[in-house]
Amino acid sequence: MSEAFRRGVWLLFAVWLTGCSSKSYVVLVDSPYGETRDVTVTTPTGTTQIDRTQQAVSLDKQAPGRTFTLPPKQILMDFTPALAAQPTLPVYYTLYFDGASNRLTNASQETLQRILATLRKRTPAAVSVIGHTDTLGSASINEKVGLQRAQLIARQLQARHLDLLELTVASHGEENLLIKTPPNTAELRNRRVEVIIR
Amino acid sequence: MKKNAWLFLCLSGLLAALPAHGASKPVGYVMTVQGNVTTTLKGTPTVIKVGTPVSVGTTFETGENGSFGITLEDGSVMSFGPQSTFTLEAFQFAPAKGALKLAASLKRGTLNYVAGTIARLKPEAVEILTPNGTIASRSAQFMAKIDHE
Repeated sequence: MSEAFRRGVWLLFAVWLTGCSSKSYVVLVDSPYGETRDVTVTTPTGTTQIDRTQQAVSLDKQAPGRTFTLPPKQILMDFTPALAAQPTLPVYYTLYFDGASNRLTNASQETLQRILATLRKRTPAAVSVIGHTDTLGSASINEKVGLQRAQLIARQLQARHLDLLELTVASHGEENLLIKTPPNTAELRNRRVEVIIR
Repeated sequence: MKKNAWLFLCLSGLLAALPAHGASKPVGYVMTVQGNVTTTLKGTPTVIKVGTPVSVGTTFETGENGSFGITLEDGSVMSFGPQSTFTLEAFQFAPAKGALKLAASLKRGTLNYVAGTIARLKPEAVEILTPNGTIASRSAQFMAKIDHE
């Protein structure tokens, strides 16, 4: 057993002994996936909010809601198996159409190739294809147009016989605008298909 | 009276059939598994594997060396360490209709949570229930540990 390892074990033991930390808790961590804002815990006796990394709130039966700070080593020790089991995070792509046509722009044709390349490498994978329109015309027609666009892309993915857990096709019509516009406005950037690989 | 009872039975059967149908629709999948992990839907435990669907009402239990990870339809990611008990209590993801909800309970064990679209659109729609408190968050990630009591 190397000296460094032994020292590490003792350090972990010491951390464990300092045990002012709770046995049950929620902790805020520095995340590579986005902003660290806050965590709120509601217990029968009240509400506690934390907003800094390494801060934790007790979820023990005794004194739930108490806040404390956890050393990174303790966090690592408690959560290594859970962290190791974390699935690959989803990736999001957006495809655009040439004018009012159902033909993808050149850039989006390249994006489609990247989507296919990702899917060939990634197993398991579930895919959502969601069609969107601008606000020109009626909402009900736009819902159908969005679905047609999504189906167009979905068919191209299906044609590759990829091994997917699922391929869902949906339309958000004009309800999920990328660029906010008034009703009855042509906006090319809103005519799009989102592909989410989970 | 008898007729009414029959009508009631038929109606309740119909109502019971609706959520049951909803519960069978997968809202996510198991993406990683290590060791022994079982799932219980309506009382029958089954060993899970990569690709096992996750639906509302499903309970997962990990053994002494078990761990697993799931990805839900909105891109939320959750992973669990050994000796965890987790149930997906509610899930709604229909942004166009304003229907957003993600409720899950962690009875024991460890949870690593990475926010998805539901949390981005409506942070208060996400709730993790634990025996002594409910967790809500506006952060991209948090972790929770529930000791065996």
